[in-house]
Amino acid sequence: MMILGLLAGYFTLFAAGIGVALLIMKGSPRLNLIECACLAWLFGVGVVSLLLWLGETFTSGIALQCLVAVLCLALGIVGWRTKQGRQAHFSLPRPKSTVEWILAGVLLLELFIIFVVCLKHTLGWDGLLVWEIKARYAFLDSGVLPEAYYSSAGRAFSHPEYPLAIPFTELWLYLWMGAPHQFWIKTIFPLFYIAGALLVALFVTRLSGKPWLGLLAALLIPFVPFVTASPGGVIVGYSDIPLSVFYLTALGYLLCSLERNSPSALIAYASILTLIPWIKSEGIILWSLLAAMGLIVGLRQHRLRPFLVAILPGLFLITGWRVYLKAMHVVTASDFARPSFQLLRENLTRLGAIGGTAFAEITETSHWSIFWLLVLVAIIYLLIARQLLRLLLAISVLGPIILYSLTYFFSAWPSYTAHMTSSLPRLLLHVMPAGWLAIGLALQLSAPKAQTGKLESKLD
Amino acid sequence: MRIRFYLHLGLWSALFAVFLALSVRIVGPAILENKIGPIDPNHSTDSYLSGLTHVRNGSELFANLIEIVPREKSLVIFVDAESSPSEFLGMLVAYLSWPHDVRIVKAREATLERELTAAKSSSVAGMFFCLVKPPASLTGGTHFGSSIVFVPTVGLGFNP
Repeated sequence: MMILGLLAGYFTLFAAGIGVALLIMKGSPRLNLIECACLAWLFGVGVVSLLLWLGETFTSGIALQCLVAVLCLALGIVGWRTKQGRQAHFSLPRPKSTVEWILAGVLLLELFIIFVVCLKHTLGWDGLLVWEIKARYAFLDSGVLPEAYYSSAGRAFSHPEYPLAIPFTELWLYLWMGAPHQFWIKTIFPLFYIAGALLVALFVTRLSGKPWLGLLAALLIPFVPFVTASPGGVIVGYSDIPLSVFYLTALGYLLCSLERNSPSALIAYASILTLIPWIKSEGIILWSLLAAMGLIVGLRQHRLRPFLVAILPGLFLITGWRVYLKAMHVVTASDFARPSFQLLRENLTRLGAIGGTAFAEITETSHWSIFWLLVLVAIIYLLIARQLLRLLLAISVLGPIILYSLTYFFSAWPSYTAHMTSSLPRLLLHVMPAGWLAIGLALQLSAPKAQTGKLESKLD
Repeated sequence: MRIRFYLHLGLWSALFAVFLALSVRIVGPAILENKIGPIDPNHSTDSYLSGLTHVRNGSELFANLIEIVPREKSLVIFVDAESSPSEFLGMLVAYLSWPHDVRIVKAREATLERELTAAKSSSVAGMFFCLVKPPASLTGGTHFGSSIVFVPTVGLGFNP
């Protein structure tokens, strides 16, 4: 019965997600099935968690579950009808050569192994005490995260101020299963990984014109030790891999929008961008960077307005969440002091130690092997190419690393280097898939020229 | 052009070879360790409690322990400020103590008595000591495995 509930939870979530994905891609005559499935998962997570959060302000229990389920199914039906009305067809991209068949086969096997490996581990420290705790308490309180939780000083360790995308996705499955379940809930995390790996393959293929490069980049992701063999990676139920996948997706569509001037890519960028701050608080930094990059693209294409509009939903979400937390009298763990120029001036002496610690982490082969060296070489390739697309990709990888490192100027920990050592590896994970996108494009020897038409027929 | 291609190919082949050689030694064993299951609602908390307190099926037993505590009263959890496992255990106790209000006190051995006196209140239903030895002045404590001691209000030396 519990498994049936779990499947029903996933079905409604995917129904909402595919509905949104189909509405976004309504202009495309052919719909890439793999792309739709990945987007269905990401949008499903966003829609379900947002609906639960908004819904709990005026209802709870079975009424809340029914309301969200009906809206999810309605979204699915509307999306499907739109697709049928426009006579769009699903297409499954097939490998074209023996090499591509082999790479695709190995990638499938690898994704299955990752799924199994995720089920072999317990939820990690943060997976349990920061994310699942919210889903559990909300479930025990008829689907509503109680105000007492937000204002409980004794539970400030669980960061009540963190956004609810992951916990409320877990809550949705709990509501359908009828009980909190720390084993079955782990199934959501490999799905983020699978979506991320497939989207790396898709974007590298779409931007380079070479499917084998996309498949190779996706295939190599789990060989970054921190992804599969460290606390913080895909196996422990943290939100860093999910955030990295949302970041990659928004970035990928922004680059596609620049390359092809496609309205559906722009809408996909805007939609995923909105959800980035909803995954984890650090998402605001990634959101800001991508929003700024979007404006650069808008200026370049002489159509600033749609990119300005693209920022608005995220801005509303960030503000809405802040207001909600204030209304809930949230107690926050003070890891960072309030940023100010005076504090920055006082802490400038930290610069050397911050740079040194960041360098030590990036060169830590037990965490990353030589992944960051690959990324560095890729960035050199991208910069040499002197194209806006490649320059933006380089910025999207380097920018978050620099911005994240700068935040430690405001660390309130007694030892800011200890703070860095404990959190920086997970922050670096946020740009890891974007790093693979950079590597994939660098592997392509020369920048493609006017391949777009051929590519579309290959990939869509 | 051909030289450029071979240089490109050689560079990336070498980089990927080193990358994989360093990675496989770490990723390989990590993928093979552990096995799936048990498929249990308290899979993670049971596993942590088993490791830290040597109690099997700990989440359910903890729920039984906490059931006798009045819901409107709070719990104080003492952890060792210098022990990461103690702090983790304290958070685990807080996680499992819902819906009770909790307060986590990071104490050192020298200051434990003082912290204890400061924590005593009529609204406190009991105190947990996680990998912390309770002061001898406290009586009536219940041991939960090897690392947690629960002292209900009656053992706290005052009448609520």
